[in-house]
Amino acid sequence: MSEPVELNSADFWPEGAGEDDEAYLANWFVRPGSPVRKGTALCEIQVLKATLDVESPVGGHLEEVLVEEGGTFRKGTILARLRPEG
Amino acid sequence: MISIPELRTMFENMVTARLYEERLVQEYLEGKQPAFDISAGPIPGELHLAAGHEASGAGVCIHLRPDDTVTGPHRPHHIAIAKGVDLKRMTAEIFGRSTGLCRGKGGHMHLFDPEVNFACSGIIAQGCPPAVGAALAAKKRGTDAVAVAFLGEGAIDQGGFLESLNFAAVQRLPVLFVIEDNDWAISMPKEQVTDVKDGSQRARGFALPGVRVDSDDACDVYEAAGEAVRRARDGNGPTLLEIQVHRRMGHFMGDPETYRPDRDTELAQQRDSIERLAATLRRHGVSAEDVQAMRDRSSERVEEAIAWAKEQPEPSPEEAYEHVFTDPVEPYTAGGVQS
Amino acid sequence: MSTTTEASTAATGRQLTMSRAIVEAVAHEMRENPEVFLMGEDVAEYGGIFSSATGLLDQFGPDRVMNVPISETAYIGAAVGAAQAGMRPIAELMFVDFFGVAMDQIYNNMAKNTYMSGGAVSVPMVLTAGVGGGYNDAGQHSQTLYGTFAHLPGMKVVVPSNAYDAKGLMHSAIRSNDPVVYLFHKRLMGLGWMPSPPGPKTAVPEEDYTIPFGKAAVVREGGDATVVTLGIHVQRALDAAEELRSAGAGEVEVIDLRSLVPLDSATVVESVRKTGRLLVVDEDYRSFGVTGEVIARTAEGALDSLRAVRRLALPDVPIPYARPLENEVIPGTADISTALRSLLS
Repeated sequence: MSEPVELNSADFWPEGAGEDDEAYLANWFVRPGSPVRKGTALCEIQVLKATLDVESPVGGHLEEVLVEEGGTFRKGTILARLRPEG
Repeated sequence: MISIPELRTMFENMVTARLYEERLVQEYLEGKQPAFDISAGPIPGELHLAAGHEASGAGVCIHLRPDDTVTGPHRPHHIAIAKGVDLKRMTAEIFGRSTGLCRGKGGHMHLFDPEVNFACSGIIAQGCPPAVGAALAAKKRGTDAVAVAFLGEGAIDQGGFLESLNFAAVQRLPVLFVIEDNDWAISMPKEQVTDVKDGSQRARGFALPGVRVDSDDACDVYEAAGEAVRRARDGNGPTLLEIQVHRRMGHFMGDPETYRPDRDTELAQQRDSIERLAATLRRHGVSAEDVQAMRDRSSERVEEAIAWAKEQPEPSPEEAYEHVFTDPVEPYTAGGVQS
Repeated sequence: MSTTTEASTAATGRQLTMSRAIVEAVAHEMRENPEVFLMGEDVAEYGGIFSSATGLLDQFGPDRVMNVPISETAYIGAAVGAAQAGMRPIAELMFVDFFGVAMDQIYNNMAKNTYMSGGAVSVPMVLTAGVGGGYNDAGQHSQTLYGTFAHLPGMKVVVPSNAYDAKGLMHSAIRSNDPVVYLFHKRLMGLGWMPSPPGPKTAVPEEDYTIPFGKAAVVREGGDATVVTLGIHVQRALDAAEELRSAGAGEVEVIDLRSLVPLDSATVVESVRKTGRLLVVDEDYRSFGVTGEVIARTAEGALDSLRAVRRLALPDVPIPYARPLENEVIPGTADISTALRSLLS
């Protein structure tokens, strides 16, 4: 079985946002256990009034959600774990 | 340069409109005399006549094609005729017959003829936004069709008109706004409701060209409208035109006009754009007999349309439930009572 | 139309907010039909204040996703003109509360031109608007006005309660040959800055599909009472129904009307024949509105079955600003539970 891939907020942290800014998880579009394609919109986050979609870096399954809808997080927080295909 | 055939077309449209309305008056008054009951007789409801406005409809519409859109106001007959609306079906509509343009659901203020893209509305200035929409559609589709919204001078203070000027200007749409200035908004003279003597000046506030035609000489209207239509077709945006016309009749049939000085009515009746155009035709070498023949043909056409309309069936009462939607909705019947 | 069913696509696990479901339907129709275009205030770069047009400008460009002057009369009327010319415009009215400045174009032109032309003219346009309160925006930005549009003949009126319905109803709306007033509740859109309650985010097929107008959805079955509602109150009614079941107080059927014109009276009447008890819940004003109409039609269709009737709607006051005032007038889950208990007693 392949190693899980972490969805790390540092990987898509907006350039304008700093280390101390707090982000908000507005929506998950995929439920844990569901299949995803590379590029599927996984969730929508807000940082400093800007909204952005986080896309899946791999194809596979969404294994675990670590920050629920309505939760807040900072740069470097792991939002979810994905299990790549094959 | 205006051609003889164009002069003749304008003349025939103007004469047809005038004779048509004279005949409508006869029909309209049937059953309404000696006591005037607006709902009696073969033509019920309001009737707004455009006698004295003919040069405006004829001089603008001569430049239009069937795929150009025209929206008219509540005083629409002369414009409809010049745009080529089917006169028989229009007349049947005015008589409330089931073969009328709108199957008897519109009447004289609400005529729709999609064959020539003509529509009119009874709400002041509110034909402007749909004309803008037709121009928008033409632009999006990349055709060179244009749209024209006619309105009275009493409509130039309406939001729908002003919003439309701005929208058309910023989108650079192929549309003309034509103000027919007959000096009267029902009983209110122009100077009572606006300090702007020349309605075409409204255009300045929207960075648009505004042109006033100070006479109702059809040839002057022809020149000004021709330039505006060319501008629109060439993609150079909207124009606001104001045309001085004259109201020979009351606001509607039955209007006692007690508010209007007799002298004003007399002047309006003296300034007859039709006779002026007849003289122009004669100057261009058209014989008196020929001019008379055009009048006779127009008269025949009017009589034919009225005779045809009066033979048409009235709508059956069940037709009242049809055409609320294009894709019909099943009528509500719960409890056993329809609608 | 695709034959994809709700069940088969649920397997993909994709959950969409209502706003994204709407945008997906609009984008699909715009790709398929060059006559479809969208215009409204702030629909281009901003993507619609309530995210009803997010990303469409990038896909279709400014000719098809048009910002317009703040002139509702001009652009809604222009949509009427373009629709009569055969195009399929979508005009967005930012807040339904703004209908007053453009009502003439809406009810005298958009709604009537087909009838007044004896069917000679069609007006295939969609008028969308954000509706509803619950976020303290006061009386000029919080109304639903469902009943006002449904009262005036000539408009089809639809009100989605979840993402799946929102997409299917939008496909139907754009393909409709008639004017459709498409009212989306702001609180259901799934906006980060106005979080939705659970419920409206659902599995949504990627393919296109239509939901017909005039077909209510029985979203929960029960034999003891019927709740008829729409929009955001569908979820509140479901929550109240669940609460009553847990308390052993009864089994409640919940009907989501989905469209007001046409109105699916038959489904309501059938349910009331079974339960005998009817509660109608609405976020529009109480008098002369949706609740009265549903109850009247039920009485006409199933008077002999009706044993008890209640309605919950906005009392006849403008919507107030402060939290305790607004909470007082907009029906909540607890209000529905209370009304149901009274209905069942």
